[in-house]
Amino acid sequence: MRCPEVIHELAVPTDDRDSRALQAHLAECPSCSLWAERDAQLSHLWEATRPNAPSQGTWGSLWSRVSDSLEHPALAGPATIHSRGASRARKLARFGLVVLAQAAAVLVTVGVMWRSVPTADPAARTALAGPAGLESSSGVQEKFFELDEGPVVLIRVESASQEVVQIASSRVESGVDDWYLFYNELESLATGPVVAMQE
Amino acid sequence: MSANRFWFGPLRVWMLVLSAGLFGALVVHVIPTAVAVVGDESNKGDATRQVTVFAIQAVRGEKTTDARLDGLKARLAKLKPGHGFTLLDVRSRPILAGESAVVKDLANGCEIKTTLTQSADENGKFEIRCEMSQGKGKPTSTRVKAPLNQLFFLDYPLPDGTTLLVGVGAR
Repeated sequence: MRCPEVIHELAVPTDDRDSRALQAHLAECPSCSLWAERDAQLSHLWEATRPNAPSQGTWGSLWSRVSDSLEHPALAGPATIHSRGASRARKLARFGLVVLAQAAAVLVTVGVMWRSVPTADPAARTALAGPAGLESSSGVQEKFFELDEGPVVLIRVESASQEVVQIASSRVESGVDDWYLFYNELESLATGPVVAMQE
Repeated sequence: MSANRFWFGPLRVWMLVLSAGLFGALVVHVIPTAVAVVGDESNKGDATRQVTVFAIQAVRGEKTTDARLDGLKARLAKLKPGHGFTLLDVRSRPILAGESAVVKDLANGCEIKTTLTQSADENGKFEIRCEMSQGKGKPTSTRVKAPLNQLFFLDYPLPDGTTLLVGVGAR
């Protein structure tokens, strides 16, 4: 198994997992075993601190109280005397709710329309429309590369040309992907060690 | 106010008018735009990607290497044999398609802007645009589609004879 498959299996276990291969990889790969250890610590922390879910009985009594208060509003609260002022306040509250619903609908509409406006990106459009290879838009030269899984690619970028000049082999030796570890180490320099929980 | 007075009183007119307005807005704007947005998102992938970008200056003939890169020296030497390496910057953050991460003030006043143009295509590859600009010169743009969890490197020769090595990966 490769490192990404092991991490994926640990994060989202599948039914057809190959436990023997997984354990063999963890025994050999320090990066994945550290990941597995942190994952286990986080799980323990969650189990120790998770709030108790309300029981079925609690939900039942809550819903029955809600439905009682809707069916018999006079019994729900201490204010059983209907004054003209209270009635007007209730009317205003209802009206306010409707206005709020309308405002929310308008906001949703504007938000969705705003999100759907395509971003201006002339370089991308030209690249898609233009010929394969080097394209030019507003003086910006762009070249497109599609990389396959496996080899690690170095793209040499000069002012006039761009080309793949070196392909570093990413051969997995004894189940450990060298470049995957490289990636993990650089990423941890940016984000620091994983912290399960912070006050 | 009783329930009957509410539903059959004057307020019902307001309710009907406002409900009709809400329904109209829904039909005219929300549904078509939501459909358009869903279509657009499915094209470019809506998943957030943890994008990592790092910049390393490689100097030919230099024997010393940044202490932070000690454990990575052997692999860097495969990319640029006979060079010394200095880590200039490394950034890693979750970004959505269309968003960018910028790494500034690198060697020789370089700036690297990486824009995630597609979170995932039908083969699970992400697509990213890397633009390198230096002073007032024209930026150079490279668009790369690569598998997740796999680094690729861009090699920019600098005027002072050194090389800016930029690594990019997403997961």
